[in-house]
Amino acid sequence: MATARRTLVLAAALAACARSAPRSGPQVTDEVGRSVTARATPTRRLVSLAPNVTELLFAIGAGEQVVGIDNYSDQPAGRVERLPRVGSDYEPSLEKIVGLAPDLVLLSRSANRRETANALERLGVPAFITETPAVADMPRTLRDLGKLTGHAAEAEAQLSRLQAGFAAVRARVAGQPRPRVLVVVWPEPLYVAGSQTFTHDLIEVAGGQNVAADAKGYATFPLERVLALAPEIIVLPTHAASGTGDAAAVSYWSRWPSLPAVRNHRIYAIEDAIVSRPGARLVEGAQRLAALLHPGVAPPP
Amino acid sequence: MSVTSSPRLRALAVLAGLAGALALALLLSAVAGVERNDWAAALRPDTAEHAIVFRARLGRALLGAVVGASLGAAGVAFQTLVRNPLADPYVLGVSSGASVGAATAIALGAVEGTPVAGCAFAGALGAMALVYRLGLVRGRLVPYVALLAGVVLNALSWALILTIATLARLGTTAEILLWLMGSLSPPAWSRLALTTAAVLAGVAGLQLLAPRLNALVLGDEGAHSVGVDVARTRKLLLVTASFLTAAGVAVAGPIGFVAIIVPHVLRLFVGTDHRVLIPASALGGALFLSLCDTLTRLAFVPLGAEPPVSVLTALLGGPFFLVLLWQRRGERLF
Repeated sequence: MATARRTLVLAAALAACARSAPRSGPQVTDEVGRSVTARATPTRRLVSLAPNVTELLFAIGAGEQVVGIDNYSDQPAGRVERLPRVGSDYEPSLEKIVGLAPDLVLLSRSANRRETANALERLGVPAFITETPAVADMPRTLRDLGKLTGHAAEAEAQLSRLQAGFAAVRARVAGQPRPRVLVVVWPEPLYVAGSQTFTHDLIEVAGGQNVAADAKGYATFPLERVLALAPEIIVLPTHAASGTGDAAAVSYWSRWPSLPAVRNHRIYAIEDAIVSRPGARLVEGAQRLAALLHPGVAPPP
Repeated sequence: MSVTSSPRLRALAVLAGLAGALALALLLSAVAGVERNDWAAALRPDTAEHAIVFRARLGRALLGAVVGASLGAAGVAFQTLVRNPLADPYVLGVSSGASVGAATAIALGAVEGTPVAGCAFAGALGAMALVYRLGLVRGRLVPYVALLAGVVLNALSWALILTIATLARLGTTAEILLWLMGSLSPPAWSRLALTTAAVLAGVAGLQLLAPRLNALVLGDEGAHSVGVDVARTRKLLLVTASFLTAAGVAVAGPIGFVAIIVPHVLRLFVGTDHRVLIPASALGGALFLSLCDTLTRLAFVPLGAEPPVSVLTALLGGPFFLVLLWQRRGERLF
């Protein structure tokens, strides 16, 4: 089984090598410090292995160059459905990727495994890993993608839109009392979004304060500390298909009536992709959060 | 000491000691936590302090005690059923079935505990029914056939879980993994009551079977010679112990190590009379798991995160058991 698979990969790799030009492109350093030799600049055929990278590629006008995507890439809706799928983010089909003859494969450090990039390089396919752990890293990722795809100007424009969008949300909620917010990513065992997460950054932009800011990243958190911190608002990023679990996720918290968020019915489910994914819809995420945190001030987008 | 001179008195002393220690462990769980205690506020209902002491801490410790009791008692039953000191309730596929059920529920979008627990319970009973049926050879439940069926079912279930995780949406894989690690959360009172009722019924059922379990230890012929229907006893034992395991695993996930270590430790103290060993293992499992869970909660202070409770059951139980094994080397352990 494994041998058959290896043979297939090898055959596909040989076919791809035969098709590709000799490796003469310029050296670039990816966002985790690996040296990558692109086959062509700008790249003409791209495979994206992460949903946020796919979103960003379309946002900077490189959508036409995308020839394959991972199974979880779902945005922009209406554009990605026609594209060939190459498998899951953790275990994509290398044969499928090589068969698409990409100039460059784009990965994300948080969604993909480094081993996938190394395996692709061994098969002669350049692989660039992006790393975008916080909103502050968005400029680097956008500019790198812009440079690699020949859409540097559009990447700058997208960056300006992002910054202007955040500034507008900040201005709208400026001077408002900042409600105390808890972001619950999973209830049992309890996981929350601490600082150094996109959701934390967006809550700051939307004029709230994350009560779990002492925690770093997505982390386990003691329930008794939640009770003691008494958040006024609980945000539940959900990725259940079409929001089917939202009502149950909200009503789960009714067992803790001492929480202000429960007493005042201020528990909100929100699509996790717009508040936790370093993609092209972060402004939408900030607007939605601002509307939830400051219903009197920020009109819903 | 004169108290320990009679086996019966010694057994009573061990059971009373375990019950007392369990009460102390529950008291400790209510007092110990990462937040400071405000006892005046804690006695008024509807305060955060009240919720912290009685629900976030004590409620969770009570659930731990109930799950621990189910694992301790079921461990004894499975070890005697398959006559193997390495057996635990998971080897016959019960927890794998529960895991497939839970993974399915999570992949379908259940984010709240009750549907997950319900599917896990259904999966556990389904696995039990399958192992039971496959283990029947000409109407008799043959332990090694059931064991083999259970081992294969475990492998099959793991493949199913990985398939579900592969097909699920991004992020769901991590959630399935969280369930598979096993953990205790403060339960809704209704869930605690339901689980307690199921576990009490299961332990009582095993207690009724205890004299026949003593006979099973003698081997098939020995059991027959003292008038025990071996075939019927094995069937009742498998169903009762699987039900007991399912009740615990459904609410807490597959928590490791309790079911294998607690019966062995208590055999060293109370011997192999199941009339004593079963309640002692239930109390011992309750004590051990609630204590480990309290330490898990406190581990947040130095670590900044709560480790899965299975980490502590193995880290604490493992060395303790190895020391006992060393001290009692040469004695009969099983």
